[in-house]
Amino acid sequence: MSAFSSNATWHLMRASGVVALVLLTAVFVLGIATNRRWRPGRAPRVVTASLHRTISLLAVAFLGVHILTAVADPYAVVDAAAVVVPFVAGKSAFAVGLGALSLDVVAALVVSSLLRARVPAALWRAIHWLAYLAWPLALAHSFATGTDAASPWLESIGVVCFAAVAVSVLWRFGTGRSAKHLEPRPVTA
Amino acid sequence: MTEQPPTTDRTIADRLVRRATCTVGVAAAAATALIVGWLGVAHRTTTAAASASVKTVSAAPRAVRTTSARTTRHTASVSTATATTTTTTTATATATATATATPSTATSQPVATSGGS
Repeated sequence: MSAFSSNATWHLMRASGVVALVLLTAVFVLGIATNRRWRPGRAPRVVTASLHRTISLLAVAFLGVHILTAVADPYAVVDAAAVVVPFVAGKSAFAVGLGALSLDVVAALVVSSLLRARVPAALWRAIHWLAYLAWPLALAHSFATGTDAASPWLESIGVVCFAAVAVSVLWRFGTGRSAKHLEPRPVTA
Repeated sequence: MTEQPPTTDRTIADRLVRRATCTVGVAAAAATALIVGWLGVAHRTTTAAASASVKTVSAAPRAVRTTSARTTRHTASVSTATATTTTTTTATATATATATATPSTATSQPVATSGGS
């Protein structure tokens, strides 16, 4: 029974990590879609921004499961400090450190967005630029950890996620003017 | 009769977002469960294969002993065959030397014309 629960924790940690990566990719793409003022079909434009927000919270939930199982699993040997402080883990310090860095950036993004009304716009935007760092760190963490790194199924997921992010980055920087210039200016009396 | 409030864009958007988020959440949970199950089955298969491999390794000494016995028997057989060959060759060489020496003069040395190993 103990061995079963240990294996279940180990499998849940790996599975939730992969799903969190896919969700973070979706959040990344939706963020750029929001910036480009894209909308799904004839839906109101606010749908894209709302989906970006809600799916990012969903990704954080799966990230939470991934972290809790990593700490709880006796085989992973990740202590609580190594979750947030990069490169201090005893085992696979570099790989776990990449994940910790990514988590720190994601936490900054989420907290600054939840407190957006109280955070200056310039600071919020500056923190949001860190998303371009968080996603590659998460991907590198996935492939540096090693358990499933050489598995064709994880490689396929990684390639699809990378392609989605690459296309959206090209969309963001490769075409036309940014959405910032398209936003309606406040009406002055 | 009360009038239904007009459906605004905001309401439509909220409904769409809620539905899409639920779909993504359920899909993500299902994917996680699927991966966990799949990893569990893969783990069980690997463990069973490793267990079978250990049994094979455990049975190996008996096989090695049998092979060793066969090899010993084979080596003994080869040794006997070599001894027979050597004896035969020596006997042939002696016979040839004798035959060669016979017609010669008493001073000539017998020459072994057939090679012995």
